[in-house]
Amino acid sequence: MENDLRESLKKVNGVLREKRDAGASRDVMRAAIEDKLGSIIMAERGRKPDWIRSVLAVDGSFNSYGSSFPYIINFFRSLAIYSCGNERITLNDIYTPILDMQSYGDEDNEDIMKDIRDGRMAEMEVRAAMEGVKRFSPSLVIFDGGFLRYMDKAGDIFGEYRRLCREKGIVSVGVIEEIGTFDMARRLRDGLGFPVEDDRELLFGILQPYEVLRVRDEAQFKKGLYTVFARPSLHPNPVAYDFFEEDGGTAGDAVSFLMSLTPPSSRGIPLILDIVDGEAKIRSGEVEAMVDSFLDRDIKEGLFRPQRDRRFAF
Amino acid sequence: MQLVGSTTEQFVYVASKDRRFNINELLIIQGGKHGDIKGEVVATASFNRYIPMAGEKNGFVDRDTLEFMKQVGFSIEDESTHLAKVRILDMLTSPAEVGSSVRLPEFAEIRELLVKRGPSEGLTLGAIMGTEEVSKGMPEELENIAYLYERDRGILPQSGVPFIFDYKAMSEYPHIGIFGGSGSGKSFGLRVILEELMKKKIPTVVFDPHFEMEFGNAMDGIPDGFAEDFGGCYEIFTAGKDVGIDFTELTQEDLVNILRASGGSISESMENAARTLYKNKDTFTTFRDRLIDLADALDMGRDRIFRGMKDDTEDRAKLAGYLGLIDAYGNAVPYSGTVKAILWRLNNVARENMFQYNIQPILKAIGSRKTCVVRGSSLWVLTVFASYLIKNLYGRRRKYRDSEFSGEKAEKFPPFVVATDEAHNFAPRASQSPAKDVIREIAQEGRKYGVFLILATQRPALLDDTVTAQLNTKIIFRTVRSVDIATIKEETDISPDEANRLPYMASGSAFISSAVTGRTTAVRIRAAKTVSPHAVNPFEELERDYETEDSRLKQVILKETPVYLGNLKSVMEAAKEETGMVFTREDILQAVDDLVASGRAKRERTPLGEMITEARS
Repeated sequence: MENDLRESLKKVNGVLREKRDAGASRDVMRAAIEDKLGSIIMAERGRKPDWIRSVLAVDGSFNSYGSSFPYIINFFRSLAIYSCGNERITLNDIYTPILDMQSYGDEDNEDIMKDIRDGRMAEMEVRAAMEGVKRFSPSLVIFDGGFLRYMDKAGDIFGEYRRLCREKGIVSVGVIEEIGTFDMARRLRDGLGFPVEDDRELLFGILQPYEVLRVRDEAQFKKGLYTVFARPSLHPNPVAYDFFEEDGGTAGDAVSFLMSLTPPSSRGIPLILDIVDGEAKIRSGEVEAMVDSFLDRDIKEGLFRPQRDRRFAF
Repeated sequence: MQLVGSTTEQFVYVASKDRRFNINELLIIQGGKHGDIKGEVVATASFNRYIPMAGEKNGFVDRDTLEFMKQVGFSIEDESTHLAKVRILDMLTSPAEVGSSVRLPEFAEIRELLVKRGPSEGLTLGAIMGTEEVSKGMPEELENIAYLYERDRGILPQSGVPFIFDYKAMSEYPHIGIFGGSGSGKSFGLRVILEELMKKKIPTVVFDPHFEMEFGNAMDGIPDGFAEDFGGCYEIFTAGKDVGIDFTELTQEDLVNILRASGGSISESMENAARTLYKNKDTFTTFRDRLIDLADALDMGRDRIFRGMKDDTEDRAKLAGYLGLIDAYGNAVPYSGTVKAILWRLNNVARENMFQYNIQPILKAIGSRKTCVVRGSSLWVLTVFASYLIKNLYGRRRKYRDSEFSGEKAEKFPPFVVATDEAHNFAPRASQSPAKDVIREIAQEGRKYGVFLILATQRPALLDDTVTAQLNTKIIFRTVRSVDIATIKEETDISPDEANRLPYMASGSAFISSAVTGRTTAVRIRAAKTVSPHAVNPFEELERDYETEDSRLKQVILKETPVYLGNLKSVMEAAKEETGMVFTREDILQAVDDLVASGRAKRERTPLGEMITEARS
């Protein structure tokens, strides 16, 4: 290995090491969390709350094919699986800037496309969920990912979805594998005497397996939402669960239920979400096959095929 | 069921949500431009999307989580998918169409593929694996003709379509090889074939190195309609006991062969000497005496013989004879050592009484279409005799067949089968063996004359290449050694999937790869109707037949009761007579004490001293 590379990596390790070692002990951290944020309780796994009779699990994926703007086709798929009878709702769509040039100006087209794409994706997931809610009336809808993304990218339809759920008394939860917030860390930072950058770092290794952090209402930081944190498997990574504010009362029940759906040896998300994720995934082979069957050869080769594809593979 | 994934002209994958596939079952792929295509399942798999493989990437999905998912209505079972790799049995020129639907065949559709001949026209060897379902529609004549056997369960009903070997097609595709390790069911497969050959009255010579080819003991629990009496169908011969080599009928070639067989190899000078010294019509005695005299003469040398004749010290006539021998053979065979080496070998064979008998009894049995089981006191004796016998029989058959064309007169001699276990000893790959040349010749030419080989071995890799290549039907039982598997792969059309299964095959299951059927068929060999005389587990035999000396003595004592301890003479005599062993007074008293202590005998005081009686329970 190059000398300077080695040195740089050592430095990174050194900085983080120092931070960790300088940090307060686990007990001090737990005390601070319980003091400032909320209570840590052990979940009651293996018990199904009576009100949950069926679930709907939702996820989506996209994949794209193309060279450079606008010769790009985005493929979307969203999938909702309903537990009773393993019923499935699958939505497929594509988006290509070629058919939507009016949305683009002169500059930063790639960024615009990314925004549109993310919006479409979020919207399709919500549409699949809405369809499932209408058709099956599940007790609980489980999304793969937090609610902020839907509120941000597909606010209108997500609002509609939320109203529908409220009407029908359906609870929704978004399972967040990679916690990306830093609000709690900030709140605690001063009291701990050492800097913690984000919430994930704050909770990593702090909770015991199957422990839940019920954040008090006044410490909730996502507007209109109610978020619960937990360590749902043996893995030390914390997982967050987003609920709508109005469902806050049932959140405790729902979280221990979701933990029961999570294999203890997994990295912490309910098995059904892994299943939906796997099924929703649009694989590159599939994309190739669709492109091959619907685009003429000269169009595909001339405009869409990325040059990268033509490299010799080593 | 439908075709999925990518296909080729030879292999396709079939998936099903609800039906588990059975290995070796036949399927019909419907529709598409090819019409109905037949295929055979060569590998199977099942998986459940909800229960992924545990590994580095996926954690282990535990039962509790799955149970919990069931509680909210997920049906885990519904997510199972069954997959089969299917080998296409028809000739296609382009890949089968993906998405085609697949169904199970009716018996009539695949009859031609499975049973080309009825049981009266072929050898019923077993039941074809994977045909359990389709066999429901088969005609009555194919039912209950191949009962199965399982070690702990005994005789089982036939399940599946019978495998009937079209033995008449051997005239086109000759010879059968039977391969498999010990315990794989190889010997038992050979027995089944021999039973079938006996039923068809096909003259057969079986070499029986293990003394197991007897057909007199019926298999336990065999159903009435299935049992058969082979009493008049076979005879057992033992080389050196009732059959042997007729010295007067030998040719120079035979003699050289026997000498070679008796010692492994033979030097050129020995071969020359043997050819020179052997005269037509020689008996064993005349030939042997000639050798002894010549050796003596060469040892003495011309000068000493002349001197002896002059001095009159020795028998003149004898010396004159010596001189005659030296004159006649001295040039060709100048050293007595060569002669003595031949003598030594000849005596080795003679010591086994091989030259006292001939093969007439075997010729007679073959003439009456029987199976001849041939044994020898050792593998060596058997190989020496086998080389002579096979050559002789083959020669007779050949002469007779050739005479039909040449018009020469020759004795009528029927076509026949030569079968042996441990065939790699008779026709080994690397080394010489007395029978190798003739077995090779039969392998290559036997078909023309109606002489067929059935060679069983646990080491196909050690069997002569030329011979292996001519075995048009190969019955392959469990094989573990990789060299043997490699040989099998090379010599048969067995697929890689099938080859992978070889080390794990159940005893009695085999792949039959045959030019006659044109494909490889997985077969469970049928139950033999008879059992080998030593099918008993040796350890069980030990328990059953050999009690300890001690307990035998105790039995004698109990039989002799009442026994007076003052007079043990009669007990001692009885014990000696019964067991052939001498016991001392102390031995007997000790045994008596044991018997009393264990409650099997009682001790009483009588006016005649202590008396021991058997305790009645």
